[in-house]
Amino acid sequence: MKRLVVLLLLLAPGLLPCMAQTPLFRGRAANEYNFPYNGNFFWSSPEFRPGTVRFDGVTYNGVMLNINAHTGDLMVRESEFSTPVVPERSQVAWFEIDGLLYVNLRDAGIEDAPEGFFAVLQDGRSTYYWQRTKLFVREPGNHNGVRGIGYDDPRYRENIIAYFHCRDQYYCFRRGVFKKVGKHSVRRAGKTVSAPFLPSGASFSSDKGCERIVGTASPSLRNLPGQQELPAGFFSDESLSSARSAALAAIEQENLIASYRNKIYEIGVPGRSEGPFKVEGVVRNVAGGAPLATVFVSPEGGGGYDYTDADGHYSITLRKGENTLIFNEYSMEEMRIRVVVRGDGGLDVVMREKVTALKSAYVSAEGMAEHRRTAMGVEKINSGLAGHIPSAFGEADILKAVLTLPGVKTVGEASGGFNVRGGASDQNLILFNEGTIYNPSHLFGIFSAFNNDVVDGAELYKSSIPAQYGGRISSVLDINTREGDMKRIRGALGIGLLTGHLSLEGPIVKDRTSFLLGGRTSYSDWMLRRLPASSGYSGGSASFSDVNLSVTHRFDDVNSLQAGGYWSRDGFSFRGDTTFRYSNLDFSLIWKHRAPEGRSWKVSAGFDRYSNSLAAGASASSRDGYNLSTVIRQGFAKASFSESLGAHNLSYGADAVFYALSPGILSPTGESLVVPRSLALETALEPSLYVSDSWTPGGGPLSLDMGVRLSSFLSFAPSKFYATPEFRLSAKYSPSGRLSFKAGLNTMSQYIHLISNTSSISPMDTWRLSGESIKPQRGWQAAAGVYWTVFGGSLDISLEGYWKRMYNILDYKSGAVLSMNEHLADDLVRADGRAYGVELMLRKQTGRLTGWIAYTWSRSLLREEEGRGAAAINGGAWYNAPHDKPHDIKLVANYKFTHRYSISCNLDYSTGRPVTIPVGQYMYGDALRLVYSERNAYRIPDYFRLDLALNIEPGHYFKALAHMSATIGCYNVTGRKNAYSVYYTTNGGTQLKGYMVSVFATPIPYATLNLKF
Amino acid sequence: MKKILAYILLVLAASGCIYPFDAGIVPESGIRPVTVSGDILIGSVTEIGLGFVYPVGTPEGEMRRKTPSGSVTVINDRGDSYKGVKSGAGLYRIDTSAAPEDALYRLEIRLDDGREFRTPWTGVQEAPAIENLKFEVSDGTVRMLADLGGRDSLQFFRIDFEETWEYHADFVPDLMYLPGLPSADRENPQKIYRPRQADEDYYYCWNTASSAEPFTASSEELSENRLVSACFHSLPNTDTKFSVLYSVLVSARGMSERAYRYHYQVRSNSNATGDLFSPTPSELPGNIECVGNPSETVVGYVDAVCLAQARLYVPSNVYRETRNPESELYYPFPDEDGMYNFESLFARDAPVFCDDEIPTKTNVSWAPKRCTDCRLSGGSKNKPEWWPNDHR
Repeated sequence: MKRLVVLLLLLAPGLLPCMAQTPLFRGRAANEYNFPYNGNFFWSSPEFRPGTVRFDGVTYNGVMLNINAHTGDLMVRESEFSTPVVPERSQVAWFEIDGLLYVNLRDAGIEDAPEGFFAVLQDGRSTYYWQRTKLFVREPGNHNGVRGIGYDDPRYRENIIAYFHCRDQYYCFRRGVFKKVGKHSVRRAGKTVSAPFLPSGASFSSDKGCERIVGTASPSLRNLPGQQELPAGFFSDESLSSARSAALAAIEQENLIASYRNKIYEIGVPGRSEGPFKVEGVVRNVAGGAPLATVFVSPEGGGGYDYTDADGHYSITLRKGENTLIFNEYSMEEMRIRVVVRGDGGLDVVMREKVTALKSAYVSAEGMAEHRRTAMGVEKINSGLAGHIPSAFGEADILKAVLTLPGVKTVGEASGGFNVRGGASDQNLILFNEGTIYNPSHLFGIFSAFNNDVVDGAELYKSSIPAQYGGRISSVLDINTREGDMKRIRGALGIGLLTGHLSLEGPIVKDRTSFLLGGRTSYSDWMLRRLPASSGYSGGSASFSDVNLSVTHRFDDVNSLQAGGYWSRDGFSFRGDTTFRYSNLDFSLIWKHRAPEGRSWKVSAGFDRYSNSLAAGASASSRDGYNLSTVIRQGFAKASFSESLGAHNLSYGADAVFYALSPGILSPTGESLVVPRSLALETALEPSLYVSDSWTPGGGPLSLDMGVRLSSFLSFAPSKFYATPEFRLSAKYSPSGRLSFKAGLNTMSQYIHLISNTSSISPMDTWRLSGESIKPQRGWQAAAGVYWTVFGGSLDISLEGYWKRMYNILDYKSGAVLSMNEHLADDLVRADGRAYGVELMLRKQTGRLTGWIAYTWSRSLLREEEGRGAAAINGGAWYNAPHDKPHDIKLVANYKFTHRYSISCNLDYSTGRPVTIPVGQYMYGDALRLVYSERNAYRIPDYFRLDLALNIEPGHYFKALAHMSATIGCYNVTGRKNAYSVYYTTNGGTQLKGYMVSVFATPIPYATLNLKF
Repeated sequence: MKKILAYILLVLAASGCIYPFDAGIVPESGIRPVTVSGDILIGSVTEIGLGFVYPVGTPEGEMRRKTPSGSVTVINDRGDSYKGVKSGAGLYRIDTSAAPEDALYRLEIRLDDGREFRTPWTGVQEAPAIENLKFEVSDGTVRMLADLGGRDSLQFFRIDFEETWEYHADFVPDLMYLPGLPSADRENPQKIYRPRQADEDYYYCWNTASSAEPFTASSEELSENRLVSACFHSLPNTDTKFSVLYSVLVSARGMSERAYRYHYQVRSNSNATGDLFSPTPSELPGNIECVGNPSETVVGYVDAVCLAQARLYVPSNVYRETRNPESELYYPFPDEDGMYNFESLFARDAPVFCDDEIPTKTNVSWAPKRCTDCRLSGGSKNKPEWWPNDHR
């Protein structure tokens, strides 16, 4: 008998319907979702709210209610701590939560209505029925069909495990028929009600066909309670009740349910390994899909880190389980993505440019990277940052931005060359889309060869040079263009004081193939012609043009091909009969493959051509008129591979450069008696192999980068072969996430040399290859540094010291003839160099004020190797290198008043560079002659310059056809007459006078206007 | 818009400038290096200059005055010796007009302080043939051109020149002022003037100047070892040197390659620096060594050469007059006390014309003396013997 009683009690819920009434709190338990997912399945909020429910003919008040929008069930809970149960839906006629009425139309006899509950909305004229459905989406490892990680971009793979996608639908009765309505605009009291509670993108349009349902107007709704009008003020923007606000906020939150913020991404295949695991992928710009370089990638809370390279690729080590990955870049919106890591895998990300939310933007994490990056002396600058650094004539210039970095010094105020850590200007390898740029300047160096419209970013390696690079002994500057927009045609137009630029990009085949075309030209010729004759420049000319073209095709998610071309030309003449010209031409093909398993490779090939010429005695009747030119042609092929092997990241590859160098071609012009003559063509092959490994033992505080590059050089005619291994070592020890110690050692070789006796890169400088008489330059650099982040991560302090030795540097004998010299080696001497210094840098990256201040103390000295006794340069003693500037202070600051207006400041101070000046004079017949000091024994006056600029960013109207930005600034605000050079001359007479050449001796105001469309 | 453009142009034009600069170098004390200038001129008179290297800024006069003293001798490998004669401060003239061309020569210098310097034995550079001299006028410039025919082995040329020109004063005075009269007569127009005598003619003068900078050129890159239309000198056609008759004596010589490089470098160091792409100055060693102390610096390069000479005349029709001498004339006027102080007037001016037969205080034109006396413009009345006209 007792057993029967117990059984009856257990069966009571089932038996109850058979009895008079069914208890509300009896039913099946609410669904549990015991797997990772994002978002939630509730109609609005997970919070249960008190409400009224009509269940099985009984109205229950004060019941805790919520709605499972995934199953379409009502959930009730007796108390805060009780388990939710799901009452039988068919017995729930209606319920009310927070004043909003929900009805069960299907079970009320409305056959056209879908199952589930509908919220009843009224605007005074019509009654609408709103049904929210949470669709459960599970997309493991497939293509994201609707929303990409971050922003809409269906092209990229993601590892979604589960999330709830919110779908809102609206219905009304039209002539008694229950119909779905589209976008509605509900009018109440004659005014359109903004409907913030509606999903974004949805808006109501007046739909007069919808009937107003009041009371028992509809037979099907007889059992609804009397209150069917929306509560007073429901649509009011100003008097939303707190409950409404909460509801609306919840709805808004729900509308984001499919965004990356609310997803969890599963990476890797579950296995027994406890990790850590390698996660890699590509970060792209949602606008056009171009890879984003210099994006800082790190897990929240510290650990591994990486920066995306020029291809947007990153690779990071994460612990097993749930992590939050942070993607950060100066001009992009920060992204935080939740991932569950189960094994090695990939995660591609698209980021959106920081346009609207500057107030909350996290500006940069560049400094934090020093704690995570093993390499030393790596500087990354993107074109956005370059645009905020004031420059002469307002032209955004990535090369000028590079010059603001510690350890980088300009050759001269209007010079394109630069010196890195005591190295000569020819010891910097400047790569542009894998091709080599031999003269990176335009218009005497006022502008660089790189059009900021098309440049994506630059990476400067001044100490730890990756093993994949070689051929120069001081630094590598790797500059890449962006990919064209894959979605729509866009463009930019800019006008400055001396130059104009135009760029155009867009899809050729949408989402597959894009192009990017950019061009610049100067109108300085036009202006020079208008200068007064007294200026001395009116008969001169100076102009340049350049064109960039890049076409990118994506075969699939892992393979892409980029074809890039660059052409530039410069020409100037300030003496009527002498004209200088030079031109760069580069073409490259780059095939990139990035497999999801962590393996990737890149193969590239291309052709570069640099030529310069000097035409003298241009008149047709001149008997000594000539044209002197030099040409460098080179073809290259490179292959690089990388893959992850547990805690090791292995990179290896090979490259080869074939040189064909014409060091001098002399040809007559007009009736000239000049004999055509050419110096022998120099040809050589520079093949190299490399392998390197990045290793973090046990994921601990110590990490190592180790690489070796087998560098070789084969010179033809006469045949000469050089080979040497180069070592790239760096180590980092990070006792905490904010303090790191690093040390590194690099050895390098260089086989092509700039032959120059000018301090600036001159159009007539010639390059020569190593061979029988010119040995390769060798160099090594040891460096160490400490990096400390303070004030909660807002200030980064770094101190780096280096010691560098260089051998077989080419210097010239006094009176050397460097042009058209068949026996050039006889006029050259080999020198060895030593450079050492300390670089202190403070960088602030957050807040309204950002920027850095850097102080460098350094020396760079040379000494002739050849032992020519008294004839040796400075008697064989150490002497100052032409770019030796012991003290150097740089300040770059940007203060944002608002997200549109900011001011930028650039301050530059350095010790004057060494010069050779006369220390004596004598009479030679009737002419005054000068005796010069030892080489580089004196210095020009110290250099100081302050630039200011006001930047006006474009407005943030997404639908505007064009966005205009402007920069108003002043270069050299203080008008300091900085010396470019000093010289003494007798002007053919007997009075000696000293002069100082100042290129920008006055404040130069400028304004540039840029239009993007 | 025009104002904006003008402003931009102004900024650009003014932004890059050249300013005086003083490095503030403190002169070093100690022994100053000796300088030697000149070549051994075979078949002519050799002129050798000795000097010191002075600190930058030393006045020219001091450099010319304070020179080494000693003896200078040219010797050849045949044992001939040609001793120099001092002709001025640091200047020595050596008669090498009879020296044979086919010998090797060297210069020996012995200073009073005991130091000795000498050049290595060197052969004589043959003289190029001056095939043609001409001038052309273009863009307001008179350019003097030479065609030099080299020998087969001669690739490096040097041209020095000496220009001589005749010019005249602006006015020939009718009257002369008589200074030193008693004060009572100083304002008497009848007494203070007298007619100009025939020997008081300062209208025509002659002047001469040597090239401070020799012109050097090379035929290294040319198809023939000759220079064609090499412009060795140019002057604006408004230069008064062309006002009557101009002549230039061209002396051409060959150079050794080392001498050419040396002088090219020295000249570049002095005159061709400062451009954006100018080479860094550097010093080349000369060919003079200190006997017994080879490390002692001696500045200079001495070659043994032969000279070729030719003369070019430039007529006055190239001259473009830009002055208006008439504007320099004026009439004396009294001071506040009504006095004509002719005595003080005469200190700087001279009477020129009398408008009437009898001079008065106010009818005599005066002009600056430089307008009436050609000698005050630097020349002299010493007409060269070879001068082709009969002016006196």
